Amino acid sequence: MTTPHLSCPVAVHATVTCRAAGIGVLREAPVPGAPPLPPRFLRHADEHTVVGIRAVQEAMAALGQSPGNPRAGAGDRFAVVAAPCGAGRPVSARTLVNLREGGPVTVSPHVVPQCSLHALASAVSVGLRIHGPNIGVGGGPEALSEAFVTALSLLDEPGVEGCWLVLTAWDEEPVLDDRGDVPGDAVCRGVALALDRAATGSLRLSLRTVPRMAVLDAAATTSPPGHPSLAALAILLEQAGRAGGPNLPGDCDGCLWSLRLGWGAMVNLDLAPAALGAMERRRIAA
Amino acid sequence: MTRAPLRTDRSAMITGIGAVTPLGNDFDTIADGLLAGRSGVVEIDGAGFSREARQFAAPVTAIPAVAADDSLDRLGRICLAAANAARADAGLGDRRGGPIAAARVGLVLGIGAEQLKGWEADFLAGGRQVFCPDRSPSLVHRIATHLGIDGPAVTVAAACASSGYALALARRWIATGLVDVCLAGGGDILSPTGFAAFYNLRALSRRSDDPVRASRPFDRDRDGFVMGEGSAVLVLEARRHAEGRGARVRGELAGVGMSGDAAHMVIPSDDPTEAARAIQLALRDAGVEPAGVDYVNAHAAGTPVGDVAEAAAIRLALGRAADGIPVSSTKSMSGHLVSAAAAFEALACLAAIDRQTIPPTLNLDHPDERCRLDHVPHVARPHPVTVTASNSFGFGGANLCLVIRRAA
Repeated sequence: MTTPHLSCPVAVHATVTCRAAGIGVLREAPVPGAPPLPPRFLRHADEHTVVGIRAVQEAMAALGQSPGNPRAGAGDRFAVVAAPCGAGRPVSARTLVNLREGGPVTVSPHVVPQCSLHALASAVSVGLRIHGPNIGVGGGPEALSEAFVTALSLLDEPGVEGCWLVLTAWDEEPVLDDRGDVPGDAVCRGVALALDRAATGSLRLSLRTVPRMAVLDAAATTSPPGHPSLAALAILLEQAGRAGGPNLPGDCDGCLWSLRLGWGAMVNLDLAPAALGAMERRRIAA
Repeated sequence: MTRAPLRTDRSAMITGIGAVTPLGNDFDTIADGLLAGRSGVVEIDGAGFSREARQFAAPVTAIPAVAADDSLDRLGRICLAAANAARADAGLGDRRGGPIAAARVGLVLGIGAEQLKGWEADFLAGGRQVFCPDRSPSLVHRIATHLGIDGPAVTVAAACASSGYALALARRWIATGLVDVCLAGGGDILSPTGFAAFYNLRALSRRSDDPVRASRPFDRDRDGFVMGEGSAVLVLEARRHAEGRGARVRGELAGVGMSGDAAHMVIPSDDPTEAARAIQLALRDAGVEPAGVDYVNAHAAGTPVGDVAEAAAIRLALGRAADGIPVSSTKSMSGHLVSAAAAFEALACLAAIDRQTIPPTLNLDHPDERCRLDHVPHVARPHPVTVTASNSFGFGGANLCLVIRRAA
């Protein structure tokens, strides 16, 4: 039996880190060098959408600054796969409180388009005029692993030229107050990776299955053990952009980050050794 | 004309169907209902759902019980029941023995707002999950565990096209060899905030004095869609694997096309180029010329803007062939199952193939002149059906077309 292996270069990546108190500023702040969003586009957007779309814009800006990069400003036929973990919770809380107090008339029509699982992917597509398919993935604690397998799978679909993979999560899921507001010091992160088979990126994302899948026993679940942290990935990507590159794990030859999936597969983010310290990335700390 | 079909050992064959819907909970009952023009739309208690005292929708009336589903909420029980029925229909066993344990099996569910609906149900019952973190596994993982599925399990969302993307992803996993068998579909439930949000968006029909006639896709007097709920799950299986175990093959998911309008978060683009592109990509993927399509199951939900946009996309994609290809919208009977709509409408295509009859569009009394197509109003039409195309379009400009072909 063959062991499927899905793999793609990462043309560019970017991370955005923002405290809840800074989301309002990030909502309005344009990203220099990136395609602009329509006016007031993020007015009703969920926190995850704000952070995620800004990460894509940062990556686009970095891509545009790469001399001779044939993809600068391109990506019109890219898919958008976005995995916001637990998105829409603050707006949902406010909506439910208002529903209880004021009835159905208080429910905003923006709840469905702006807080559903597809909202971040759709916002990236609509806001940045990307005509490939846009898909939300995950929604729960397994979002990260679900996003990788989905993005790598979609690259083979007809008409799909690449994929923006967008991941967002709070470092720790915040406890909301009774009005649904998030504590100001809660940290939300966004990571954007441009998967492009035509690129010569400094990173490569791959998924490889083990030769024989284990059949789980009755007590097991298909969730990845320990639910991987987006924060850990974001920090490694930020380190990778600094001179000298990241501190690689001792048991990982050229591998920046890996994730073991509960169903018998491994996702790896590998470094191209020659490109250590020369990786494209941007970062905002708001 | 149809080109030589692109059939390989890893073609995605449909070997099982499971459903929990307003029109019934098994393939034959649903097919009978669709071809008889039976509506699942009824008056419901509107309290808490909208400003209207009288409200209507297409609800699920009975959820088959599945062992070990006590921990699941209504959405979970509907999805589990459909997935379990699909597995049984395919003749797959469970992890204690039988073919499912010997194969690489995956699960993909299109569910657009699982967390939101879970928080809502908990809150309205007096809970506080929406305020406090909850790291319990997503529904797709819990259902995979219930069914003994040990391969990849993913939730996807593309608004009203969600379960179509689930089927597309499952087909891709089969093509790449990631799995041999994949259960794929979607589910959705009626909920107070969802209902109120769509109502306040003016997306829902307000024809509350005549519920059965409210869902009227392509009709000049349409005024919005009718909310529905349910789940539909198909078993996709690599051709070689299905043949190897002698499975009954109900059809083939032969082509997929997808694109994005990139125009608006809610309103479909008035430029049909991208929606038509999804249809054209799907036909090309299946190796089918426009004239080779025998039936189009339209997304057509009955909204004033959406139906016109889709009619233009069908015309652009199919060209002159559109004059002779029957088109209908089964949402006129089922209501709009939202996340589950695309999978349910794939099932409707399989019904058309199985019965060699096109299901009708109910309430299409006066076709909108801007939606000129070969409509099938009111009553089913006997017609040879080998190749079907099913459109699904969602908020955020998500466009998807599935080509489903009769099994060779």
